[in-house]
Amino acid sequence: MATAPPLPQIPLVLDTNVFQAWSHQEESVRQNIADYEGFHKRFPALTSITVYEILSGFEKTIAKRGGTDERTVRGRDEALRLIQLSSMLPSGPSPSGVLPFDETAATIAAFVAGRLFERVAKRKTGPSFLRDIFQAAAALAHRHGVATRNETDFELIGEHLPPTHPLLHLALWRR
Amino acid sequence: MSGIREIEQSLIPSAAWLPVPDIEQVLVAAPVMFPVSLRKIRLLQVEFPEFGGAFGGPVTVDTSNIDSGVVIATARITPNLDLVMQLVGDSEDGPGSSTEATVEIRHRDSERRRALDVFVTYTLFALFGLSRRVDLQLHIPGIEPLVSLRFDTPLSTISQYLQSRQIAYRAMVIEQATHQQFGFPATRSAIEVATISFIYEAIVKRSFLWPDNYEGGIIRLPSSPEGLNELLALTQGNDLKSPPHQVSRTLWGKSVYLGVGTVTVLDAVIEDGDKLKAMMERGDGREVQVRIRSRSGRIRYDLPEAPRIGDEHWDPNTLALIDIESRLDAALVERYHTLAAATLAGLTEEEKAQVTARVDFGAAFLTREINGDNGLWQRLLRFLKFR
Repeated sequence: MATAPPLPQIPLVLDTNVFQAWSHQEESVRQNIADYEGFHKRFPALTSITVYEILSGFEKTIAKRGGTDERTVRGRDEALRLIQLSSMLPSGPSPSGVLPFDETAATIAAFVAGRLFERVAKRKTGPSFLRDIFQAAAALAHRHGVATRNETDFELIGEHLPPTHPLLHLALWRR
Repeated sequence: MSGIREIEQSLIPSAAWLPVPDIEQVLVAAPVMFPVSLRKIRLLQVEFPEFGGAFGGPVTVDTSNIDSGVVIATARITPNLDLVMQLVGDSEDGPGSSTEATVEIRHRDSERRRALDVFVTYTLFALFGLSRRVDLQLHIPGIEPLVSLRFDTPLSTISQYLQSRQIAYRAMVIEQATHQQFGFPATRSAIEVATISFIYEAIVKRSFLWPDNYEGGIIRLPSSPEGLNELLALTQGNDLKSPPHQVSRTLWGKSVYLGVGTVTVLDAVIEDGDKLKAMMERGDGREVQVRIRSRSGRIRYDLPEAPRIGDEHWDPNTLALIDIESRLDAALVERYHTLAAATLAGLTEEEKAQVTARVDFGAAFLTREINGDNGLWQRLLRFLKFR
């Protein structure tokens, strides 16, 4: 049970931190996306967990301001467009580019979480670990790798994968 | 002598059907004001200025339906393909009014499409979809007016055009190298796409890495002392290489022979090693299946006899459409970048920080807070006792 860098053929999902760097127009991520598009003819897929995370920030802000903030509403709508676009495009063997957190993903996540939580507590790793486990599980369930900046968490997850899905492909898209 | 004859590749268990963009669709441009009556058009030229002058050319014009306000312009692109543009507008002699332009690529044999025709069709669709303007040069003596059209095509559709174009190109390469012809099907499965990519890599690279997406491979060994020795030797090595054997793949019902080659599972791991060892020790000569996988997810194929493709095989027009790939990719990815940036456009730095703040998934970790000695539950009990 391990992690390994992906071959170009492996479809990837964007971890939320990479998606946000892309939204901020960071040049290194733009280049990574361009390279990926050259091979796959689409941008990397998203998981339903990332969709939740992307939209949560907008919705929280909109709710806080009573829905009066036009710019945030517009940003949320643009994010929705991008999410919808991803869902309409097949990604690797998946007919949709928004990978669901389904039964297989839940089974993988339960296996990993069950073995990791004690260790997580000992290492004082933050509660966002659960999010990364869900993310990795959704990617694994649909035969994708993860493009992330969070090497430490995902490598630890990679050490606790089930025998049915023993390898997590990890693309480190650093700054 | 090794008992390993071949490392059999495991198949992807689920073969998802993937969407395919309609190849017979009609692209519709936003209505545009024509500076002249359609009646005056005798010849027109289609150009994609953002993609260079090489893409475009003269088009034959049919004005037999001009009284109904319809002009049909047709260009033969390949022996099997016609580009048909229909202009519907005003037929009066004065300057024209709002005109609607549509484009379709007509296949002469739609029952049995060739990879080349599919490739050309999707390349043209992508060109129309990605061009911010498609120029129509109307050859009317003394005026030479230019009309710019715009086809607003959704990004998801353009991505699918480019995916289909890529698959068709790879199928073209396979056809040329193997001297086989395939009917290009209207449907597509994930397995077919993977098979096309595999054969294409074999032809173009001959030695290449292929992902072992934890399906791994199977080798068969006899349950015997020799088999046991081989198994023990396997478990010690890092890479597991098959002896040379014939490799082929089946694509669209036809076998594609890739010659004699070897398969190497890099960083190989034997699954259920102890159980297999016990089976080997029985020594009853029965065949035992040994499942192996790559710890790093990589399998190397060395296929030196795979068919080759000649250097100068494509005609200049096809070559121009092949070479445009990087520019099509760049145009598409720029649109993706714009969309991603639009999610934060106009927000202040503080607002950006708010909407991109990390979401707390910490509920699952609240149990200690709720149930611990100083947790909510205990505090509630103490409070009730006190009352």
